[in-house]
Amino acid sequence: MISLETSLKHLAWSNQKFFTLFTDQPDEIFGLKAADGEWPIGQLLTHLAGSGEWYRYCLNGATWTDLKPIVNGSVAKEYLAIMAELDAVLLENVAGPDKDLEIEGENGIIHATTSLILSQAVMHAAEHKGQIGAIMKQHGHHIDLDPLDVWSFIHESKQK
Amino acid sequence: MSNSALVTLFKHMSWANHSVFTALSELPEEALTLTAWDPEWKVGGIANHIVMAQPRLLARLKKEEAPADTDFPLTSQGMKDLAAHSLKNDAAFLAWIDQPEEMLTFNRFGNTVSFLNTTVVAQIVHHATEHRAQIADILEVNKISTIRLDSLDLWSYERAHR
Repeated sequence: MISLETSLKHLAWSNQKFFTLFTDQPDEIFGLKAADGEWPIGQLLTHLAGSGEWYRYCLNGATWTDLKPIVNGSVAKEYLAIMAELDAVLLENVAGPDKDLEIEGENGIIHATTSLILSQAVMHAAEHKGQIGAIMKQHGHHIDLDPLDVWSFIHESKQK
Repeated sequence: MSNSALVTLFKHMSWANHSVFTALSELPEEALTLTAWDPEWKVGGIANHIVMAQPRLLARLKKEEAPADTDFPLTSQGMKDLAAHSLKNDAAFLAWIDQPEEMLTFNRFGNTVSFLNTTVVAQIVHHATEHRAQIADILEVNKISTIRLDSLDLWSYERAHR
């Protein structure tokens, strides 16, 4: 059956590609914003990983780790392994049943389902990658998201 | 888990697209022609780009010829019509995604290519999500904070549909 598996595999692949794009960027790139008051690129990248930590907590109760803010390319490089680990947790859950989850949140119990968490993971990462790509272009830096689309993922997978 | 997650993702996409297009229809019409880095890449044009891709992708799933593109005017009424058209396309997607995985062959940018139907389905969601973020960003750059992406996430979708 058509399932979410391709989307989650694409997510993991495109996260690796996307973070790699930032490993050799100058430090000032990580401070670029869409507008005053909005999050800079480094914070958005860190947020992508922080969200992955939240999904992992929701799915299997794993405790949070302290994420180092991404302020330069060398920190971004450290996140390749972090993202791979977090994205693997999502994939582990795609084949199982759609469970009802009771998540202990800051303000009490949050009720969710596995399908909600996995769907949010796919949507959220794509949204922020689109946002970061837009911020880069807005500031005159070229970043092309087309090679990170699902067609490109499958095309590259076929080459291996 | 197969289709419950996929159906959630699709229903969310439909809701989020509709929310963005409706918000665009309520903005002053000049907002629809705003740009950021590319003068050709207008807010309303990106909305059209999202919706124009839908029947093309749907046709690939259904092994049909893609219909001609329908371009909606960059006006409030145009965005309302676009929002309604998008909902219609989404309903067609939802009726189609409960399918076995299958290899499809179709024309893409003048080339004959083969991709699984699951790839087409994943791309539909990915494409719309990425471009909604672009629309929000271009508006933000132009000091219009109408579209808050955080209020269009899956949590908000679920809360809105309880």
